[in-house]
Amino acid sequence: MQFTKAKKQALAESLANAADARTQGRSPWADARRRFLKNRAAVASVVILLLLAILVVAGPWVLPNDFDYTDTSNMGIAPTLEGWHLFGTDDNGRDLLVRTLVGGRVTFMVGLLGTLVSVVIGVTWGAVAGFFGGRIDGLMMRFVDVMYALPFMLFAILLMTFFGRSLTLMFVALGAISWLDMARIVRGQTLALKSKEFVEAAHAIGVSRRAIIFRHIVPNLLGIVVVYATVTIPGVILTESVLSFLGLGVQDPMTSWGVLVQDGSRQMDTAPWMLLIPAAFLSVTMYCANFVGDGLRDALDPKDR
Amino acid sequence: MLSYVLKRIVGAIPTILVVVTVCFLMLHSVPGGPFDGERKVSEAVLANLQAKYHLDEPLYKQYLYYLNNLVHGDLGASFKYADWSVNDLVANALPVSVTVGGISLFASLVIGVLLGVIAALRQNSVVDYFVMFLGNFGSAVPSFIIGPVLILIFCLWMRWVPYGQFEMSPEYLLLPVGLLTIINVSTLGRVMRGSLIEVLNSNFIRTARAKGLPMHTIVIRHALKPAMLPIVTLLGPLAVSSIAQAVVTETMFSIPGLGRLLINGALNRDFTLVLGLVVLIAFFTVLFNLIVDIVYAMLDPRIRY
Repeated sequence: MQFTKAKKQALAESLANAADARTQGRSPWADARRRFLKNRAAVASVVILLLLAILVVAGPWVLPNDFDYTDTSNMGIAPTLEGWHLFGTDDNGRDLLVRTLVGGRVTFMVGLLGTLVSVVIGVTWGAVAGFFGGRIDGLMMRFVDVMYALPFMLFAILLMTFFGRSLTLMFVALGAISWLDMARIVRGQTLALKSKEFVEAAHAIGVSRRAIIFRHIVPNLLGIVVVYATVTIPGVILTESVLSFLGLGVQDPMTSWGVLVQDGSRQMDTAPWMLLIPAAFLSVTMYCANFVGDGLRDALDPKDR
Repeated sequence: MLSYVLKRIVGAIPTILVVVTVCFLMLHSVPGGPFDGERKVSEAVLANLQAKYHLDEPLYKQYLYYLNNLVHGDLGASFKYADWSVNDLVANALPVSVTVGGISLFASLVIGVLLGVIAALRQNSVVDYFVMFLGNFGSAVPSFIIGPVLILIFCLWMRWVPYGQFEMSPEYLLLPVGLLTIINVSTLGRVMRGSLIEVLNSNFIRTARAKGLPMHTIVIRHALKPAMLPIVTLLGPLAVSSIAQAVVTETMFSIPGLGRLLINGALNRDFTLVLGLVVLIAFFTVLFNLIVDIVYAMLDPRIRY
């Protein structure tokens, strides 16, 4: 068989590419990224969440109204273009568009910081329990079991009522009740990691146990921690908004979507948009956060390969 | 079997004890007592009140008093409702919560299993999509949004059901029961669908089909029982959350049940009331988990205690 020069070249190129692909292989992370990007709902959710985040951060700066300015001449008006009251005003004359965006800031912030607290507690707890093993592990994990037995919502209510209602305490309280799953997952991973050669090597050259946990084990847990943190975020947001809805969370004049839904539900007979707008924002965020979390978990789950 | 039940009950005592202790310490370690109301109470009256409730004694004594009363089935006196004992308050609220939660639990079990079975048998049908949608919906849209929207549609726009002071009558029960049912069905339907699909793919079902059994016999006689196992597991926590912890639903529809009592107790810093409810919820959790395990053994012949 005769090859033209062009065909020969093409063949050589494709062979080279194939060889390249073989030698390069695919790292598990590239694999996961590819799977995640194929999940349309998850990718769309990431985009929507980013847009929402930009909106709630930038919106209150750009818009002319203040979230806590009470305009007595414009109380409880319906959505209108006039004076940028696109979502209307509440019964104190405060602009609902800006309040919704500021509430979104709080909701996003609580979700992220609350999760951060839960990650710090959960990773430390799980890594220490898994690394030391034995009696310490048993004791620490028994404590986690007991915490599981405590009714979650009740615990949140207790923490919020009795430890004040400032925003900072709220992050801590929400984080302090959401770290249990994280601790269990991290412990399991640590158990697997600590018998690896590099940990043994670190032991051998005399690295302290503390340094081994935080310099060698925790960085290797990063992937799974990020995924479960993403799954935790919607849960924390939900808890915050339930507490705020019950009047135990964010306090006036500060606001969050839970507070706005509660305010709106008191006036839904005359002004249904006051309920429906924050409800829609919260629902869309929760949907997207769930899709992203599920997408990440599916992308990194070795079972589905 | 009996010895297993006894073992479980004895095993639950430490859990309840730890829960009580944690909550007791939490409630007593925070600033602000039950008598720091708007109205200033004179020194002498305050001292009398504190003496009456043993608040002037050291913490460990108060704790022992409480445990002693608890063992005798006495949850103590309510701080806020002067003439009421916690037992009375609970006795008033319990039937309401059991009615609302019980009906909705039963309804959601029937509807959820039915929908899940249809969805599993007719994949990609309308019912299947509905179950999947409801599953996403239930985990994304919080109950305190679904509730007001239901009220908005059915009470204020359609005027099918009355809205206002709660009474124990079918038309007032409809919406709260419906709300709890929607939330429960969203989980139950999805889980039932998944577990039935898994069971239908197993070997013994293939054998049954190879024997030439008709599909409905296979599903009813062979597949349903093992597929119900995850549902039974779920029913424990769902029962606790529907009966003892329906905080949002009861607040929204002003139902005088246990959830309302919990919120009011927390807001009023009514220590004994909150503690009593914690004990009750812990008791419920243990009880329902025990029932679940017993039903498990009845459904799955491989499990014997």
